Amino acid sequence: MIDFTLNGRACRLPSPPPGTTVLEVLRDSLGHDGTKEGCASGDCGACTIALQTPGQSLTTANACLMPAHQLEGCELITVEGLASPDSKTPALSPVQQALVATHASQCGFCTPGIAISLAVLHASHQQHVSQGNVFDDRQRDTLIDHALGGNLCRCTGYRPIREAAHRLLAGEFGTANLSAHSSLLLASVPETIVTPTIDSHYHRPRTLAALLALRTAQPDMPLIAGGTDLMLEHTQRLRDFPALLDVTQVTELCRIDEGEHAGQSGWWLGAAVTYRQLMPLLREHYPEAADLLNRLGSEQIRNRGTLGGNIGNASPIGDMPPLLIALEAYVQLMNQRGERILKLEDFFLDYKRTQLMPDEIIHSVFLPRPVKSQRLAAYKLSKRRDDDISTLLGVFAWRRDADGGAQHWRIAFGGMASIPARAFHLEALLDEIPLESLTPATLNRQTLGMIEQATGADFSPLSDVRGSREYRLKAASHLIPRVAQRILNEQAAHSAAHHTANTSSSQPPESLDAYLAQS
Amino acid sequence: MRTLHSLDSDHAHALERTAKDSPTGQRHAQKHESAERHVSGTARYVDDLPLPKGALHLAIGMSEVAHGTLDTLDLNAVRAAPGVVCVLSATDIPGHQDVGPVFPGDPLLVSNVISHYGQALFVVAADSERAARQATRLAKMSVTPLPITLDPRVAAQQGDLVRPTHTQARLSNGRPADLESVTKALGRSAWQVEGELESGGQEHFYLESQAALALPGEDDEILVHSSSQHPSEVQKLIAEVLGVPFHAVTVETRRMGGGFGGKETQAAPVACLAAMIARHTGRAARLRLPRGDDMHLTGKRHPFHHRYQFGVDDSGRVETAIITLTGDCGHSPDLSDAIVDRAMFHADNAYFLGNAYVRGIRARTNVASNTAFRGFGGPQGMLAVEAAMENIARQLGRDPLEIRKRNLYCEGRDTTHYGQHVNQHPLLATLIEQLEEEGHYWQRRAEIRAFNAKSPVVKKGLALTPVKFGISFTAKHLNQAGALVHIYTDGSVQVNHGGTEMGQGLHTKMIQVAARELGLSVDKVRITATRTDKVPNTSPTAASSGADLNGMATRDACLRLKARLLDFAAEHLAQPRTSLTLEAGELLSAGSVLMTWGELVQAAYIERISLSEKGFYATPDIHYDRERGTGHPFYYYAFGAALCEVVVDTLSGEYRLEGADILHDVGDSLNPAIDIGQIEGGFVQGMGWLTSEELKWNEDGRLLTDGPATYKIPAISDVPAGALRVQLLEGHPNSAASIYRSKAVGEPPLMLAMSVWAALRDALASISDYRHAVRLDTPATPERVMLAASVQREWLNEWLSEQSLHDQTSQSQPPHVQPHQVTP
Ligand SMILES: Cc1cc2nc3c(=O)[nH]c(=O)nc-3n(C[C@H](O)[C@H](O)[C@H](O)COP(=O)(O)OP(=O)(O)OC[C@H]3O[C@@H](n4cnc5c(N)ncnc54)[C@H](O)[C@@H]3O)c2cc1C
Ligand code: FES
Ligand code: FES
Repeated sequence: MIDFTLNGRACRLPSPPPGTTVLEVLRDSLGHDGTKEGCASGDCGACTIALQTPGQSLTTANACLMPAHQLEGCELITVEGLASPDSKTPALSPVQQALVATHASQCGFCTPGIAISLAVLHASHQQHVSQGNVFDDRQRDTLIDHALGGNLCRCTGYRPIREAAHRLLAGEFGTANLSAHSSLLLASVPETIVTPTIDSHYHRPRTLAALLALRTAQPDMPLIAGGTDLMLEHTQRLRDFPALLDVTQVTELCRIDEGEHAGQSGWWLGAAVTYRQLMPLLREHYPEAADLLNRLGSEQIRNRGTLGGNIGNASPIGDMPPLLIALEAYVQLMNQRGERILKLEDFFLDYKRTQLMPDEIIHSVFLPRPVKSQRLAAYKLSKRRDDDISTLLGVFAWRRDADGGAQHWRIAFGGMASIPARAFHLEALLDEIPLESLTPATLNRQTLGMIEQATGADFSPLSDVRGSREYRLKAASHLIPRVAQRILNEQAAHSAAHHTANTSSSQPPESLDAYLAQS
Repeated sequence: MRTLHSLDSDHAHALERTAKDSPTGQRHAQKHESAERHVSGTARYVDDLPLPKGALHLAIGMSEVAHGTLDTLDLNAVRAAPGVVCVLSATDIPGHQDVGPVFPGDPLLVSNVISHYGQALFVVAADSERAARQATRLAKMSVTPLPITLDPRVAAQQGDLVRPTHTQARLSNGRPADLESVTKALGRSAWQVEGELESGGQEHFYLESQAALALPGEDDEILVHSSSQHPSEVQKLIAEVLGVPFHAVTVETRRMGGGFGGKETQAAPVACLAAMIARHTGRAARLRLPRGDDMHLTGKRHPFHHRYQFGVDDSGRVETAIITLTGDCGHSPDLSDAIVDRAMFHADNAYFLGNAYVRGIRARTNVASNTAFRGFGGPQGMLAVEAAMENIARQLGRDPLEIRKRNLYCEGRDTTHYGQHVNQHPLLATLIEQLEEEGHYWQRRAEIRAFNAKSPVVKKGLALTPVKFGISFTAKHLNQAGALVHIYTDGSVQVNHGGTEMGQGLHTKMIQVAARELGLSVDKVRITATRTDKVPNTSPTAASSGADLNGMATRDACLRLKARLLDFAAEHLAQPRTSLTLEAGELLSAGSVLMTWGELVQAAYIERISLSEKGFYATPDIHYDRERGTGHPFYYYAFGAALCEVVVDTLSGEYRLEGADILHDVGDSLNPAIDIGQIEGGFVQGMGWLTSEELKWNEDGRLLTDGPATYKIPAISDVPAGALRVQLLEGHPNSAASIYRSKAVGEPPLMLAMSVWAALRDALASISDYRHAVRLDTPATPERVMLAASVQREWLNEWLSEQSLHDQTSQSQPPHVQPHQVTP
């Protein structure tokens, strides 16, 4: 049985086959048709639901990728639960009023998902405001972009949806009432829904020992965390999972602990820590990494996807591995017999092949604390800015030396090889050639040739749907002048700040993002 | 972000103004009739309809080769799979095998030759959708492969066409022409500008995939709920496939979760398969395509190859144009004949071509049959001439806006290459000049040049492009519509018409039309689902014509009812007939209230006056002589213009829309909120077509971009805050007698997005200090933009070395500071 609350009513669901999604349960078993399916792959947001897990804030999720078993103990809110549940007349909630007032629905198919994403944004914004945070228009725009980046609308062109969001956040339609539902208040007679019961083979161990024991006993049973990757096997390739081993209830895997490793201080990041949970730490210590994280998937994906899943799926285009490799992170693997700790860059062996033994799990990642001179730049290139997989990702880490130069280069790329990997030739090149001759304005054919040669020595990328080999090689090479200019611009701004009061940089922007940040 | 010189972008104000004009909601920015249902999740789509007991779920078994003969198809394992109830293949089709909408070529299920990857071979019905889908994978078949063609130009060279080539040729003096005479004329111009371009297709990506639910009735009767833009055709094809008369089949469409042309013909096979299973098993049957299946099975916007040669005088005025458009039609004709025709009709966009020779080739390739998509070939048709405008500008060292303005249709140069006079053509200049001024084009041009001169990586681009779009179905017989209006005895009114609702707000507009004619508030009028048993023999909701045609038909029915009621009232109340009016729910005589609408209806009913009426409309004045390539195929033209600014990172190819000021002509708007919604949505969809939406097939003809993970339609941050500023052109009612002098708005705005593409090319031109126009195929993905930037740099290097050869003393200044004329 799965016990949860649905729009404030207690709900008890006979355990469905492992891998059954929340969307399937909502639409097929519970008759809640308001939540739509547009893709069943996490990319369109039509299936967006709101979830409150004990001890955490209200978040969105893609119902199409969430295993139904993870509903256990959650409060689930669907579009049917937005309007005030206790009034007999279906009074529209603030978010619904805002969408109607701004003509933000045309065909209406994306609308339930958009309404949920906006309702959750409204609630969290309100919470921030009540804690004394204020947001200007531009910051609200960023919040809106992040909240809705995973909700596609084919009809409206988004302008009215953004307007609805702004007016909602400005309080024009009243206060958010989404979190008002409480299972304690509303749980009455549990509803029983009749669907065929089968023995549950969905395991959700609560202790590390139990997890490792199950892993040893059944090494073939897939591990599942957020499911944002694995569940595609169920929805797209129609694979039936006989059993699944869920890591998300094991406390040790969900924690971020300060600690030390290899003589450095840093953090042990549990494998089941979600992107959402990781965000504050990165924001504080590695802001560029936080910016990169905001371009990983969509809000719905970031709410559920985990670090362990991103490493565990061994994808050549995962965004965290190049970042973590450039930051010289370690991965801690564990089985019943013990643990081992590897440099993350040594973990990946070949396409979708890693050092992980069949009875092992990824326990955590060790992320070193930045030294004072630590600098980082992460460049994700993709066809679309929101919710897109990297065509390529280049992460550059370096240390600033006394006179503002760069040293200790660590460069890692995703999308350039069968695994995420270091770019040793490019690192050597940056050690050798002065940055001044690598900027877009100073770069000559010969130096560009040297860069391209180094890139070619590091990587031999493939052509695929996201980009050609030619583009990947060229675009990767072009990140060198970008990073060089960035460092020089920083230097210039730095010395300008020392010499004059005027800190505004008159340097030309080295990238689109730099331009957008300036303007 | 820098604030752009914005037009009055405050929609709310504009909308409020109109709202005041009509307090009962008859003409103002009335909200969508389903808005509340949309936001509450209670608007039902086909997949949400409750199923009767024993309903079956279907899945389609698809081919895994692009071309070959299907020698054997063994479905035993499929039949034996758990949950499977019924499996049907081509041999089980009782009636017609071919569901081609106009010409044959689309087998419902393949019996012999497979002609694209993902083609339907058989259909499985099971207890659950998952069981049905899983079972499809168990089929065993043997296929003898045949050679495949994926490149339309190769197909054209081999003469492999789905329909014969069509040509339009005309000299600037109006005389008929041929290739020879036009080629001769080309040689006489001072300048020749020529080029080539490839434009990619576009997946509709309606959020609701194709779906149908078939409910068997008594005997041979069947009711099918179909997510379709063309219920009458679905009815016809189901009847033909089942071998029953049309009157046995009823098709109902309440709403679609998006259509965009993708459900004009492509909905029918899905409905036919559901109907076949329902007929065969006697059980309800639902087929809803999973996203990937939908993308493999259904056609898309036609990719095109464009070749153009323009003869231009010293002022940049086009004297002669030779344009060859090769449409990639996919494996069958579907609607391609009309689509390539429409591309040809729009090869001029908004410009007088002078001596013109336009040829449209319909190439057959082994991909799903390409089909209608918002604009119906028109957008593709316009690309070549818009590409040429920039090329001419660079070649002559002028600003592209100057060249565009110089070539707009104007007095004396006002007839198209197919001989139709462009009514209201002065609006083109009006639109462009208003945007030029209010958008501060020349000031921004100067600022952008200054910025670009100092910024080696990030470049800005600006472009102002017009749109002229012909309104009417080019198949004349489709320009008709019917409506059915009932008044019930409580005074409530039910309207039904032949058009379908796919989000475009057609039903809302029709409610407004009925309310206006009957003098009622909109809440007295309800629209019910489109059904073939209410209004028969309807045309597809397409060609932007939904409101034009059905609005007139609805008005016709309402006018008859109104006349009848007023005749009755005049007699019944002994009032002069001419003094009577219906306003705000009341019957008035010379301004004073006689009785309420409800009382009038009651009285009429008691006196046995019919309260139900049908309406009909056929568009006048349209014809086209295909033999000669001349005529008057369009009732009128709709116009628009967009001024766009983009920023481009020339090292990575990333870019962003900084702002789009749009001014669009909808005549007298029926509903400004809905019209603005169509313009914004169309613009962004067009931007997707031209930028991020890239379809890729592998060499075996398998579509690789078969889901939103790899096929990227615009998302919210592609439309930054404040970037989309739409205004309706005020004060210019339609010169044709359309419904309340409004204009169609569904398709034309999509082509406003050409300004994004033109602005990208402008930014790339800055690399060569605006000396050289670079070819930029679409979609202009970051990859294409970056590679084009590299081409520009190469060009510049060569140019510089040539210059230094010419001028060893190197007097000339570095290119980016070279003075350049910026004003016209
Ligand atoms: C719409 C969408 C957008 C996405 N965008 C991005 C993106 O921009 N960048 C990106 O990098 N990824 C992206 N992803 C991929 C995916 O979301 C991430 O890789 C995510 O981190 C996976 O985490 P998860 O917890 O959901 O993994 P799951 O799906 O639960 O698991 C993924 C794999 O890791 C294994 N695994 C999970 N936990 C462990 C563990 N503790 N030890 C060992 N193995 C384990 C699982 O067995 C499985 O094979 C996207 C996915 C979707 C659906
Ligand atoms: S259905 Fe598209 S994200 Fe879930
Ligand atoms: S309103 Fe149609 S997809 Fe958003």
